[in-house]
Amino acid sequence: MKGKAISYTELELAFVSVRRDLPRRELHRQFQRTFGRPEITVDHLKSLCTRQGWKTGRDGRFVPGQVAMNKGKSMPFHPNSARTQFKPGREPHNTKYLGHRRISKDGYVEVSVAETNPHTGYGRRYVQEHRWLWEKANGPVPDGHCLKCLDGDKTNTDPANWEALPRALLPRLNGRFGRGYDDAPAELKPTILAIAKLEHQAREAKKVK
Amino acid sequence: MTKNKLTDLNDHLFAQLERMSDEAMSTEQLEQETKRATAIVSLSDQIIEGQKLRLQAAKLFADHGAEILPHLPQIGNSE
Repeated sequence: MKGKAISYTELELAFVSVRRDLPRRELHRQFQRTFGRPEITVDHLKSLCTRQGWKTGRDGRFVPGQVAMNKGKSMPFHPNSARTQFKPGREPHNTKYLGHRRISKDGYVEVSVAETNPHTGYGRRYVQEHRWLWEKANGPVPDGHCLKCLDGDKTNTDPANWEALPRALLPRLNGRFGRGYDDAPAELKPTILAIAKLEHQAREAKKVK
Repeated sequence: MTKNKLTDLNDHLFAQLERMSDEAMSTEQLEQETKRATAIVSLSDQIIEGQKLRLQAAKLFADHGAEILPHLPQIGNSE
């Protein structure tokens, strides 16, 4: 064993025990004022409490309703970085305009409309143009439905080219178990769509009972 | 050759759709109609495949002209 164990009297132990919820520095200050044992450091007292299992009862958690420590304070910044920040009213050089259109990576047309962006609070946001126009003409898309382009050209955003179909019907049109709707000749498309609808309806009828 | 056209198949499909959406059907009738619909679907799939083939052949003929006709015996002969 290294060194020699520090011995505490019964009184000293009782003194520390009843003050276990104090910060250890404050506990040490009171301990020294009362007993005057300069060889005992803060760490010695801390170890004593740890050995005895005397915990402070604080776990550092925020209780409900507790005010944040930085409430009302401004975010600190460095003047050099603040110098190059955008001032109110200035806009980046590549800012787009109302009605700007772009093609998304999924091939749909997106258009910038005058509606607040829920994520950033900016005055404009991008929406899918086919859906935007269709909803203006026909009202919101029903639950479980989505818009399917009828002629296979996703950039044709005319509402007449889009129909609200149940999502469950889509795999009957395209994909591994589908009928190749998008690649089919235009003459066959209405028929393929009708077949898929009938198959979907038959499946739904089976589900009900 | 029959006189049926692709639009007639469309009409059949929509007619079956309407029959199935009839509210006043009993469970047995509905089951019957469901069976019939499944059969119609599998039949229509075959018809569509046939039609696809016809269109492909027509496209080949349009692209390459008469020299490809020996490989497309049904074009020109049946109609």
